[in-house]
Amino acid sequence: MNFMKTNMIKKMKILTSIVLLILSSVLLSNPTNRTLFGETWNANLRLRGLSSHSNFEPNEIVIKYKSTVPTKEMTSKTVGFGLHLNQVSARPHFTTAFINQNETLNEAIERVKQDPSVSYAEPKYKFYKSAAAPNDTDFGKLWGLRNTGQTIVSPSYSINNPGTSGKDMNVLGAWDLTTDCSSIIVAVLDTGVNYNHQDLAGNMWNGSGGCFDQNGNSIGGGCPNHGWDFASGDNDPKDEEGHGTHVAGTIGAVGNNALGMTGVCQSAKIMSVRVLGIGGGDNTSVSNGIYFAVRNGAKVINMSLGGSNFSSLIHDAIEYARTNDVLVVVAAGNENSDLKTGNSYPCKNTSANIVCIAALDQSYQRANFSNYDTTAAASSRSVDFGAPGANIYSSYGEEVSYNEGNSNYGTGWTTEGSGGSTTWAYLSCSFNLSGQPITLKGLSLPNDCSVIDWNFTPPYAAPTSVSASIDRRVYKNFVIPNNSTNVSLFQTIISDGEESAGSTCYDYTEAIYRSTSGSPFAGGTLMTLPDYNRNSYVNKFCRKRISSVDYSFIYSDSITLVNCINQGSNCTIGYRYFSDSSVNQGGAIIGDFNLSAWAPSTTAYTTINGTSMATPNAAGVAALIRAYNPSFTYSDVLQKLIDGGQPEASISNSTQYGKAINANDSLKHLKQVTGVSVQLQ
Amino acid sequence: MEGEKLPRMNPTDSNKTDSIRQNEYIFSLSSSLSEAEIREVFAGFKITFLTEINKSNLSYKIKFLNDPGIKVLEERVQMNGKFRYIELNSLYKKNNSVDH
Repeated sequence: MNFMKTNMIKKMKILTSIVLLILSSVLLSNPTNRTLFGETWNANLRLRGLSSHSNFEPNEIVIKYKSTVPTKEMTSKTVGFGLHLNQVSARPHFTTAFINQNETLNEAIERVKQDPSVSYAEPKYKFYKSAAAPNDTDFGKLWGLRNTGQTIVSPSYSINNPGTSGKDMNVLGAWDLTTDCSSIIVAVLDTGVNYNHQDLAGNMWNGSGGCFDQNGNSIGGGCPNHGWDFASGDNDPKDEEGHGTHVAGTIGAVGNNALGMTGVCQSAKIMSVRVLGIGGGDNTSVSNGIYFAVRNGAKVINMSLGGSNFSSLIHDAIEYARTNDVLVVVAAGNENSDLKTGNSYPCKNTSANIVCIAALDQSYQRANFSNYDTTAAASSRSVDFGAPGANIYSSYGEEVSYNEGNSNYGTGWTTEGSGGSTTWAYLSCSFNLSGQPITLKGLSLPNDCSVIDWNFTPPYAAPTSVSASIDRRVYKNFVIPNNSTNVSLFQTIISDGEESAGSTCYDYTEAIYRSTSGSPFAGGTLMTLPDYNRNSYVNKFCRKRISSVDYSFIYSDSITLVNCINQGSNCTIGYRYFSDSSVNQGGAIIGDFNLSAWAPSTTAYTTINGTSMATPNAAGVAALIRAYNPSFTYSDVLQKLIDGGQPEASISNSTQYGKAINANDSLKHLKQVTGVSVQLQ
Repeated sequence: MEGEKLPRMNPTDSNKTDSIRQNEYIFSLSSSLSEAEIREVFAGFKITFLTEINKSNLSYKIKFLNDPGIKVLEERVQMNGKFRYIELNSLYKKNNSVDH
């Protein structure tokens, strides 16, 4: 009897292998129900196993009996269902059995479940050992893929570092099934991608054979540089500031190549669509980028970007993506704002194919910069999921950053000029603005905080007057990477002096820079900044009288230092205060000084934070799901993200699904997959 | 001269930057208009730039020397009847890293 059963099982296995082999070729071409050898097979159910492993035995089910059913009766009941008993497990109280060839797995399960003695019936799932970690040298830094409680060295986010072991996307588990997204084009709409980076070059989309513009017209010469640049209007979407390169690496850096890192997808087709120039993009570039990506075959679009206004133009483009079955994964934004009332677009767009991502730290707490949405009805929340977004290590470039406030402007500042008894010197001023305490560290002239009080502290006492006829300068040289493609300076400038007459300033501050060392005041470039008092761009900053009330020039923002771009290793910044011989008022203070420069590199990586960094983690998982299940629509992928998501308390009331993205559970989850009615119990 | 001050820009707040491209707008048509007809709709505002964005949704970018503001422009296009919408040309930025 035992021999007969064993022999029968062997025969069935051989037959099953033959059937599977034939089905593999038939079902790939048309994933619908088929009849083969007179049998009906659920093709969608079968198709799922074709990419790498099958998740379950194709012709065997598990029957869990209710506790009221005596163990000795489980065998007869199972046989009574017309099935071929394989295994009886007494203590867990279930049997496994082969189905008949005249019904599908699904039909057998549904039929058996009708029996009142059955607690549940389901496919016999397979379990594999977790995939081995790839040999990428810095894999241990990728806590979002595998969190062992490791400490991230030189972190960019200090909270919860180290975090909690196991708080990750369980990508290793997903890699049991597949590591390969190369069947799916993922478009990175961003600042461009350094497609020559050692960990990206092998995974870039190849458009050299032909590509289409946003209108669907063929582009002469194709897209040999792996995408398109809508910020500059050319075919070379190279990255000039690193953001897009970092995002691309998280999605699809080459894996298991004994170098650097791996993306969520170890093999990928990354399309670089540059929609953000230095200083950002607009409705036009973003919209065109979406059309370009869709027309050239992208099935997942990553947009780690945002703005404060809704755009119908971009809405139309996202809808175009939806009608072409493209999933659009977007960032929630970094303002720590509740989007119940705050604005962040396209996160707040309501198209069905948009997924908006918040950032989580290493303990899966919402990162303190990440936007969220506490709208009462969860289904109306704009932010959908959380994903790792703090201390994210990825491909980048060479970057330097100088925050002079951290050093209290301690070294390297050289003064020159003449007049008066004082010159520029370090000063720290604390004051309140709209009830909030603020400390502004910087260089000032004269050396007191009176110009702050004059502008921000009632009763707005008159500032200390500077001396007449002075020309005082201060400057410092900063070493930057050779051939930097982006050099930007954040600064706060408050400058008083005699009020202007029309466009003329009599006492004023100037800001100047030069791409060499030494004094920038000869041969340098004056910075032109917006003057909100005079509603114009100016390069001499002074007081303005408006309706009989005087206001200082106040500016606090970033400026791109274009003349330090693509130069050598120096960028020198200077400030000059000038007063004439009459009517002298308050002086100036320069604070919040932060200069940064970036240059492309084929070997550089870095750790940074942002919902921008969380978004590609989610996009990578979406691509992995879609690559593993080629018949999936964007809607199926979204459903898998929902079903496989890991519930997290920190975002339960501030995201639509209250879950963190989980690659393993989403790839292995069968629930609600299109065309499959098998239900997990 | 001293007096009551108006609310001022926070000197340590970097989020006070422009969220739009000044004097630039985007519009989309429900049915096609010639360039001359479009220019007629916006007569008086001195168009400095007019270009098609996408043929599939008849969208255009336009820039004015004398920008009348979005409300006036919305009134103008509603009177014409062949415009789906007109909107500000908004800026988008990377949700870049935040140092902590």
